[in-house]
Amino acid sequence: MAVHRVVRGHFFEDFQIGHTFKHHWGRTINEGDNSLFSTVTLNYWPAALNREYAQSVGYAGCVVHPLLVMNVVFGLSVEDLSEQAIAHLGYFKMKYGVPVYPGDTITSESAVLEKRESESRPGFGIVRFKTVGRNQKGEVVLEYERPVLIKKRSHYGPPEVPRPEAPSPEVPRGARADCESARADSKNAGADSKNAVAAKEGKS
Amino acid sequence: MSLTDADTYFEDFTVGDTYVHSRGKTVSETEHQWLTHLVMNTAQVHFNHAMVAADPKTYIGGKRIVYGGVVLSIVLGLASEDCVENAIAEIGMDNGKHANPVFAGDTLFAESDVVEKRDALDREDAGIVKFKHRGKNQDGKVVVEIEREVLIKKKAKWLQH
Repeated sequence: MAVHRVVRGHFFEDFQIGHTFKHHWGRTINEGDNSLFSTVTLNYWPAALNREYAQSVGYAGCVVHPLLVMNVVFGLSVEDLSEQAIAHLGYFKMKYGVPVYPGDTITSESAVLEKRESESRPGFGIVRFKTVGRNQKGEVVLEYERPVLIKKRSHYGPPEVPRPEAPSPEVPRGARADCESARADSKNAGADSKNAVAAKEGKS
Repeated sequence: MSLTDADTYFEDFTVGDTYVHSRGKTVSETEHQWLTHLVMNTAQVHFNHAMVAADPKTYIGGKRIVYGGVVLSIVLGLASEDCVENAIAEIGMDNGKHANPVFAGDTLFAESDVVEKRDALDREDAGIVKFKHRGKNQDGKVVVEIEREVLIKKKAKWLQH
């Protein structure tokens, strides 16, 4: 029997400019999600919470609050992009696309735009990502860029895990294609971690 | 009283004005974690106390930091009645920065500057207002700031009876 301890998330060294990710899971946003999020955050925008009002301004019904759309697109991206981050630094060039309605399914994908070492904090680097959220028809619901302060594998990575070979960028900067190969890279990195830990524990 | 106030239409905003929103909101431990989980944010720095407490050098003060999306959403929520109650749609945001961390128990406040106004290109019944929102904590420290463009109803069209 093997014991697996899978470390999720990527460290600073793992990201290469041009690397793309198609994030996991997807999320169908329902009415309960929308009402809960909008009310708990005090965003009582009537187009999200009052069906007749929403229709009076041209929507088919209550819309999912745009801030919930943003948080779902963001949340789906965290394991790939920022699970090993200690600070999310900001939001840039955020643009909303088509409105999202309860029942729509959101998926998220990202590309690495830039990376640099942190000047003030050794052990960390800053990576800037571009993330795009889409609905079930493939229409863009949101896009934005965000810089994140991420741990370095050299300082924070599991000590028994060899640093994986950095994947070569397979897509030009800003392009969105070949997400699956990036996904495969990330899966392989996970498998390496698993094997290494299992080997150290003598359980493989 | 109608569903939305009569003084938050496009015409009511003056470039250069600042709104100091009157409500504050204390962020509780439960709600910040639930909101983080609701949107499937898997970063443990927001919800694993044992991990952050064991390494206070890495994790500010050994405390769970509130996920920035929650901070931003609450700050914009505090600003929403004064700024975007008559909004038809959100256009986008830019230059958003988390300047200081927020922890459970902190109380958030919001202020908004009216930065710019312009007509919408594709419709006459609404215009675009650009706000700069600031979120502050109970000590007056800025925790988040962001610019945001919103499409807002024009009185001339929507308040006719």
